[in-house]
Amino acid sequence: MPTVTEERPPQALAEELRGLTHVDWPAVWAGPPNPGQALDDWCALFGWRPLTVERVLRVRTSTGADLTLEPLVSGGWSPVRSVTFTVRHLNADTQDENDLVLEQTADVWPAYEAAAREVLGAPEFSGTWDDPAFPEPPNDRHWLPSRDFRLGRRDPYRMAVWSAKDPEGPVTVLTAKSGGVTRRGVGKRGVMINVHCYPQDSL
Amino acid sequence: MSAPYIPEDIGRRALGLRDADTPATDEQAGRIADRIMTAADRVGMSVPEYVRERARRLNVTPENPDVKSAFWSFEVPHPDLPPGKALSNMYIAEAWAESENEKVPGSARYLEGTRGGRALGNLRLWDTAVHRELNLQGDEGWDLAKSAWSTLSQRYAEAAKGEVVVFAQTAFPGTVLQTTELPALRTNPEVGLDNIKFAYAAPDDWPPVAREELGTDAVRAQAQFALKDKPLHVDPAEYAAKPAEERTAVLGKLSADVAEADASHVRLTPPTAGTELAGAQQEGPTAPTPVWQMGFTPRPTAAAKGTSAAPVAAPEPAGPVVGKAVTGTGLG
Repeated sequence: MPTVTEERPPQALAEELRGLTHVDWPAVWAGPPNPGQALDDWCALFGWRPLTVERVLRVRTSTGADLTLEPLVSGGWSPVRSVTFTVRHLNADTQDENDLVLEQTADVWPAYEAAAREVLGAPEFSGTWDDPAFPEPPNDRHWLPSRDFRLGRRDPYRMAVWSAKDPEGPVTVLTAKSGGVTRRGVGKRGVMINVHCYPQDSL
Repeated sequence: MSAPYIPEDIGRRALGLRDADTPATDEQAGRIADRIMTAADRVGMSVPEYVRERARRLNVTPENPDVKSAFWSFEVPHPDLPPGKALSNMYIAEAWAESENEKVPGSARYLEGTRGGRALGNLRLWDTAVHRELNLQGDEGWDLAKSAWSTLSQRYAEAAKGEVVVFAQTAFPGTVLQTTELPALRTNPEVGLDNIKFAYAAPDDWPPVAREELGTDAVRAQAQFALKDKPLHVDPAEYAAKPAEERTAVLGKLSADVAEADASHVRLTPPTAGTELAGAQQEGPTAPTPVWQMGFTPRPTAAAKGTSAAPVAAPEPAGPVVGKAVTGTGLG
């Protein structure tokens, strides 16, 4: 049977998203200061606590999520390209279960999407990997995967997208993404339900 | 007289290197993960086992035994970047090494530019997209990235010889520089404490006596000045307020604590038989050690123009930003 290795209930997702609506996004995109009191103070502005001191900043929110602030360039942690966290991670115990983990994730997906709708409203897109309306990336550096990649790997398996009304706010993306399997089908699949927040000008 | 700022040509070069560096897209992450998973499967290892073993075997031995090795940590504000955005010392170390190698080939190096560093860098282990594609659970991806790079960093420090240069003002507790590289350099018989040199002067906001006595390369290569509750902490302001004999006692205790910590340091690579001791005469081309203030020459602001105040520095001639035109992020 597939194993759930990380699981926060849909209501916890709603709670985290509610917390993110109070974040000063331009300050987040600009990036944090170096570690020390300045970083502690910067994180405290958003109710966060730093977990790392270099390379990629990770913080814990007051409601318990571990956020990753992915930098745009390596070696430092500013500016920030995206803020990401995982709410659910399901793993196949054997290769025979590789399709089952996708199916079981599809079963719980509507509850997570509904929780996000409670906070963010109706998404501008919600659909499956093979949805004809699935948005295409405007360039090959964009966070949206190319059509070939998406259709070839069924990834992301599910996706919903919300853009904040405030132009400085984020594009919030809920995804079910899989990994752990090579193109030749070797390996045990895992599927994560993740939240990614990107600056709107990266869309 | 205070040290000069980081030269503008190094800054421009470092900015170009930064602009050329972009995170992996999902498709690139997919291809990288595919290569890692296929290689791990071929040797019958899990992905973490394979990556850790690879980091233990990658080549960080210098081709020129007299090359000067650079180390780095954290970031520096740059006047060409928007307020709040900074330039990683990794790019400054890289720009410095490139510049020195143009003058004297093989005279300088930095970890990420070694053959092993490039190979590990190509795995993009700090990228969450790669973690997802590898299906690494929770902290597993971060732990793997940290342990693989720490292993390579330690081996790089153990392979260093003679004088080394650190692109940081101080070593922040918990960083790879403080926990892995400096202990490896101090206990490396071919480097040792006396050969660890900081590229940047001690922080300006330290009291003068602290700058003079704690700002030495030897003290900064041992102490940390940021977190009171972590080992090897010295507070520059408290230190400066003490009488001379108490300051001597602080430095004595620091040396004893570092000696005790270093006694338990375990090398990953055995020292070469018959190697010379630290401070031995160098032969062959070695890059000079820079001594800079950590920062760039401040630019005159628009508001300052037209006033009678003298400009802080003459405007720099406009120069091309290396690589920017062809390697922008492409986002948006």
